[in-house]
Amino acid sequence: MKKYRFECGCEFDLKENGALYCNIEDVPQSCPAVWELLEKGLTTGVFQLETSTGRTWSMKLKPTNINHLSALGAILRPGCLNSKMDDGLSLTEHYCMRKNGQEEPVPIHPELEDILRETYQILVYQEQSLEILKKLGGFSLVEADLARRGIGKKDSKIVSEVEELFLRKCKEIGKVSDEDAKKIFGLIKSGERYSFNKSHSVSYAFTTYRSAYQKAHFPQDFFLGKLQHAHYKQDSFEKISDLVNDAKLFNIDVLIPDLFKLQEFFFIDDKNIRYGITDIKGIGEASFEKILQYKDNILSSTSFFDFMFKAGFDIGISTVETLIKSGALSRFKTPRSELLFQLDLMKDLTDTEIREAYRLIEEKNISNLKDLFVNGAKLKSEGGICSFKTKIDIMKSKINVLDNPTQSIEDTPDVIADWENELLGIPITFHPSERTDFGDSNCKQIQLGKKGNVSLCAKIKNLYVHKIKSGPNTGKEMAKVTIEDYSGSALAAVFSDDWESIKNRISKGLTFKMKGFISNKTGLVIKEIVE
Amino acid sequence: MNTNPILFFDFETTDKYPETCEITEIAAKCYNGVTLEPFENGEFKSLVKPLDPKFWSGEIGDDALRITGITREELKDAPHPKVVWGQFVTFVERFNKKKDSWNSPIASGANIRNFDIPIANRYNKLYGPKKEATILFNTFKCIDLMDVLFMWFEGSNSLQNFKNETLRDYFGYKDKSAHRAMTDVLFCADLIIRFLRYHRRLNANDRFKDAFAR
Repeated sequence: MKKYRFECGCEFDLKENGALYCNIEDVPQSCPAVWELLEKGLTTGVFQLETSTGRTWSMKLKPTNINHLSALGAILRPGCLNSKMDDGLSLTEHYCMRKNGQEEPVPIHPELEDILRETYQILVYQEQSLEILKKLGGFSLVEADLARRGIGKKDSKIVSEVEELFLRKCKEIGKVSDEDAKKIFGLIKSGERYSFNKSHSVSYAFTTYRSAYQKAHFPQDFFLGKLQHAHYKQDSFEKISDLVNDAKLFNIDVLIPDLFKLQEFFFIDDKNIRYGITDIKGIGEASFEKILQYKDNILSSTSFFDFMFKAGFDIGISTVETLIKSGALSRFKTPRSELLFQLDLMKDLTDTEIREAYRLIEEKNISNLKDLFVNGAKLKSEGGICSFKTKIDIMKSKINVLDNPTQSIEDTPDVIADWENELLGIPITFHPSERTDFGDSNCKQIQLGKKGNVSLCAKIKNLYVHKIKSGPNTGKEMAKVTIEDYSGSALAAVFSDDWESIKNRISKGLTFKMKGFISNKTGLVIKEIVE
Repeated sequence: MNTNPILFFDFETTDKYPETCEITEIAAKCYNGVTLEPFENGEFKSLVKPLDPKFWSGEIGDDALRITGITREELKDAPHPKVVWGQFVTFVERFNKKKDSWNSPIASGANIRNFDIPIANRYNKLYGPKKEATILFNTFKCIDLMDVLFMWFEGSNSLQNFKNETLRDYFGYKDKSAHRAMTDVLFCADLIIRFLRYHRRLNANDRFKDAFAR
């Protein structure tokens, strides 16, 4: 069988239809493409590392094997992040520095060196505590685990009992001094607050690795799976929006829905992914089933008018409106505003009028709305579709309005972006940031590692303001922002001094021109809102 | 910061009584509440055909037609109020992103609180998408030019009254024509937007914060 070889060296069987065969459990255990992905922080959708914390620490740690990945999963937890060493830096920070050679992993005690070697002399796992109790205090593993659990309950009586036992046994065995034994017990005690179960951590690490492996090698399948799954989550639009932005970094576009493809969920459309019909807000399974009932009529529609009378009225006016706004009827090559305008003039037709309209359309071979109104603006007895005279006036008025629209029926980028944001979770066709050519950067470049001074136009997607808890700016406010433009999204910070000057000028959901800088230490920092 | 759109609108009517008059012309223009810039495609304009036989017989409406310059001939071919009102409601609701009263556009105009809004409420009941009154505009906020002018000129004698012609003259507005809906909307919008921008400049550095503490 033919093989396909990736740049990283991974090789897979190439099927006749061009698909690659990959058993995720058999993939190489250490692929450079995976480590590169994690180092760059491209962790959206990657198991355990999806959050901004996961992304940040993945970039700082730069894992290069499963052990690092396992430790990363453990040290990401709040217990570890909040456990400070004497210099005020967290255990997590120290682990990263030691792994990257920025700090010497000095053993706490020579007797602990072997036990803590794999985690750079930092106690990360509960199993390491068991090993210490066993090695220095002669505990059996069962005794050690009971002791560990007792300490974990924070019952002062149990803790002091275990401590007394440990100190006595250490003295008997004689590998460490009384003083050292006391210090080591203190380490085990504090470790219970943050250490994690290694067996869990390693198995999670394998899942993280495989998740990242799929993303690195088969991004289209990765994003498809994630998008389809996001549909069922509570904050589905938030997830979908993040995934759509992230897919752009892999040169995968997620396209607006197309009714005529008749797909229920996200699906692969050539080299891209396309929204399914039920991924549009407001269209559920029931509406989709109704659409399928009229499948043949829909597929044979040659214009919006044709579509409405073949299927639109049966599918439901509000469903049609949603389809229009989301772009699912773009096949008709008519501005969405114009389709809505026509729909608005049709939506108050009664069932009787619609029935009569079908008759008239057949009789007179009518193919557009104006002709329908012109021919229909008569009483039924006279061959029209109106039940009484007032209706004739109304229908004639509609002809007037068709000729002289009360408002513009051209699409504008902002309106399209608003509709898609509302119904798809993210603007696809046009992003408000494209209104201007201000700036020398975009979110994609920032995500992929651009450094230095930057300027760009972006929307404030999320805004989190909080008070600084330590350091010279304690008590002052700063902000963490997710910005989004046509190329994707990025995380940014606004430090306290700059926040004071811009906080009254920015708001979530709005688009701004901004300036800032990016460094390895801080990431993107917004300094100024230009307008 | 206000993020609600600001919708300037004006009705020309068959007479000056909001409880009973009929609309002869509607115009509206919507502005972005953050940038104070007009939305692209944010204008609405239409004549509306009155239905009251008294209007067509000449019993009512002559004074109003004289003021606006609209003729009965023009109105004969104007669209039915049900059609125009439906279009107007769709237009206004376009600017209400979350389809709730909190996010609905802020109604704005000259004397709208006492005149145009009561008419809008009445037309909603008559012709609205639902039989009960549709809440089109923001329930909590409204910008009436009369209130704005009062705040600025109540201590001065320089503005004798708040009539349209007086204001155009006072502010040196180039277009002196009044009493067609769109020209009145544009004038009112220009004026109120200018005042809003001025307010923002005045309060740029939170100058009123702790004012009573000093």
